[in-house]
Amino acid sequence: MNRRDFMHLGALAGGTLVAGRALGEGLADAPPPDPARVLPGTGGQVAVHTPNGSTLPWRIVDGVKVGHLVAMPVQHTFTAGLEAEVWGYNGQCHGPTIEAVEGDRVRLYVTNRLPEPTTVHWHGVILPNGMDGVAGLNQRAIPPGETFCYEFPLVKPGTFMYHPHADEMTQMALGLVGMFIIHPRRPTGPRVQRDFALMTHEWKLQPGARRPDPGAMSDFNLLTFNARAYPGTEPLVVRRGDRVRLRFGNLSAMDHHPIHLHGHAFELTATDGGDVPRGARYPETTVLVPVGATRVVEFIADMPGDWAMHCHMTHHVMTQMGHDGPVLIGADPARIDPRVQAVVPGYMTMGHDGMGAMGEMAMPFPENSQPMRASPGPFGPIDMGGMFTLLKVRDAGTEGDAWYRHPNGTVAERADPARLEADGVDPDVAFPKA
Amino acid sequence: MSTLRLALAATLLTACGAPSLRPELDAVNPPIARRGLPPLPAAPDPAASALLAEPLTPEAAARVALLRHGALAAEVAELAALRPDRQVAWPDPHLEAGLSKALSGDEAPDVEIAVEYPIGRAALLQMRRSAARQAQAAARWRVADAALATAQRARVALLHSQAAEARLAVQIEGLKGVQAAYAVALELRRVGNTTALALARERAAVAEARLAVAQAEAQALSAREAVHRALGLAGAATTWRAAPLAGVPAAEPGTDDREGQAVRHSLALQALDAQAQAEADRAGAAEAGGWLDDLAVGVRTERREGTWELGAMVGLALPLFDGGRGEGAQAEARGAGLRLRAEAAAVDVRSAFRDARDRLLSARRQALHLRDAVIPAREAVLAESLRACNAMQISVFQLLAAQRDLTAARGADVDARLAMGLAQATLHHLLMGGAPMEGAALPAAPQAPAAAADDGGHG
Repeated sequence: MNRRDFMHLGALAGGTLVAGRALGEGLADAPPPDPARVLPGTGGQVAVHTPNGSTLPWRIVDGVKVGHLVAMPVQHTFTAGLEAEVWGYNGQCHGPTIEAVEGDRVRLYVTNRLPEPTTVHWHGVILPNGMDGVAGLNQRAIPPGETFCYEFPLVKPGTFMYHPHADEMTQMALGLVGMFIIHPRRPTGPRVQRDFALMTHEWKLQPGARRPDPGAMSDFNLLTFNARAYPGTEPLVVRRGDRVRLRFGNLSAMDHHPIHLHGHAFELTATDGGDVPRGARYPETTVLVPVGATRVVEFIADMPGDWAMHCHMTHHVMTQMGHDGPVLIGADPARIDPRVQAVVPGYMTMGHDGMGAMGEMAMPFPENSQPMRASPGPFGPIDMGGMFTLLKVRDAGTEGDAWYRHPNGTVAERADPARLEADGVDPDVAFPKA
Repeated sequence: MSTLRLALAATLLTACGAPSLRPELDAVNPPIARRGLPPLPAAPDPAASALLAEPLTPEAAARVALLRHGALAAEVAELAALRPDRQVAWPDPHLEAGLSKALSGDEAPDVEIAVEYPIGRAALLQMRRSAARQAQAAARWRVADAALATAQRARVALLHSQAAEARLAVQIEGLKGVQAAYAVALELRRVGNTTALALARERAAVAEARLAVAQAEAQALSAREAVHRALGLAGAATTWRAAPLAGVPAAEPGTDDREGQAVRHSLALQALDAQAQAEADRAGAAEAGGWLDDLAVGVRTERREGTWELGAMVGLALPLFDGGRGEGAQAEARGAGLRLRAEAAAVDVRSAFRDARDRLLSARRQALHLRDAVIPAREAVLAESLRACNAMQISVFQLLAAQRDLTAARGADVDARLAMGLAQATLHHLLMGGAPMEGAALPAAPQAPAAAADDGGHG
């Protein structure tokens, strides 16, 4: 089989596989942007939606919101074909978003089904010292099999997180994190129609392995929004003209994430420390979400289309990227492949033209891995993965559209030679050697 | 021309030599045939050519050696010198005549005629022929043993040749692997993607691999020549092809005690027994010879002073000092020595049998482990390395290192199968009654293949 055959096979088999996966995950069949649910008693604020996640349910007991978190091992799917043994809460990874309202009193039971002691630290929440969850400092750790009770009033609204403060490195690396949203009792500022919570995270999961490496300090190869890697990420579907709030959290081990939104500019409205004063806000297209912090941005979704939103660290959108190979760009496979194939049939040089074609190839990969895989887009493969998702801005009446339908003449295409000539553009222009 | 010479020699052997060797062949061949080997031919056997036309196995090599090895034929020819009637013949009568005359006077000369016959030696003839027959029998056992040794040398030589060819193939595969790595490095260097150091490392690896191939080629040629010597091959007969080195036998060799069989079948021990018997017979003959060797009877007639006289005579040596006792004691001493040698040889046979059996068991298990565990594991490493390389998790250099690890495992497999084949052949040889042989020992134990180097600094 020559290289052309290999590529052809890849296009067929890979395309079929990826398309099937995308359909299976509902990516190409994005749900219509139903109006967001309004939270009662909050001045009309909409509930937070956690893509690929859920919200912790409450029971009201004597006026106290009672919730239950169970820390436990979980089998998790990052994206189709990439599963892992991780730790999470309530059978999911990451844990459900805790959503409450300023002034609520919450009672949170935490059951430990992990093989080691744990705690929960309510990151950024103002609360009594004994409820802060630092093992050894504020409480004794929750032994395996036991259930502890945390109870405190929510005195300050904001976007917060929760995570263990016992064997933090291991437990957070394996996914034990979640968002904690406290809505203000009396909202200020413009009302938002869409409110999304997105936890960023990083993992080291060797292709073919099933458990992330909790000891990793570098070479993270799997970057996620809400523990999902593209194309496994659920898109953010909004109506055109909606005011949209994006709440980002980052409990990665080592890396900050500059999240870039295409097609829109936004303002940073809050951190886990509180609201940013209106006079201090300025427009941005990228917000840096530091480790151990939250960032809240708001914008008007006034540009219809399918917009990319991703971490702008390029390695963070390359799922299971390998870094140990030599640089192959510029090499001629005809000078390499026959020699290598003589002793290792099936070998094929890759990356000599760049890495973009990697995602289209259907060569055998390690089991349970999605190294640098591409997924189908409306115009061809989308070769980004990892911490990548889509903002789908739709006009009313076009909600069921899978991919954005571009008005005529609004998509970049091959240049018309007559237009090139008229504009005085010569594609074969030569440049003096620098 | 050489064909003509060969034909002439064959004709001569058939016409002249072969008939005279028939008694020797008839005596030597039965024990060889009983061991499943072809009888030694009176002349070069065309069957050897048919065997050589097929891929040569160790057992076929053994048969070829017996059918055409010149040195073995020479040993058979030399047996003719040991025929008892050529060793011990009837004594000849002794005739004595004398004539004397006085220097003065005219008397007729005196005449003296005597005939005597050594009847003592004639009486001892059967005893001495008996000793000679035992000595001849011992020589025949030794020739049969030499035939087994010739067959075993042929097996061992062919096994080494098979292994040398397999090792050469492995080294060539290894060379292809490092050449592939060098091709990658060369191309990467051409387009500016790697360092001169990394390229130099790959070039050095190729140079070393070429040397290893050259050494393996030399060993294969040398091993082939050893086969020619072991089989007695020359000229057109040297164009044979070796069959591939055999795989692991399905069944484990029996571990029951068959040392006794090896001892009972030992041709060398039977030769020593026959030789000891010959010495005993010689001792008996020497003892009797003390009295009888010089016993002679005769008649004598003489004319003295014109008168004929007739008389009889008896001669006898008085065994006061020698009496054949020295010769007898020598024979007894040699006999005692031979019996001690036989005991020591039996110990050697038993030990060699146990050694071969243990080596066979161990080598078979190693070969099985290589076949069923190491090589599949290395193949799995290579397959997973290809997947990882496809996923760009490892470099092509690491992929090729995995290929070299697999090649090294295949080299170890060759060593293990050679060790197994040698032990198997030795065990077979001993059970047929062959004597333990030096130089048929195992080669160095197969080395566990070392993990290949890293990616050579390209990554």
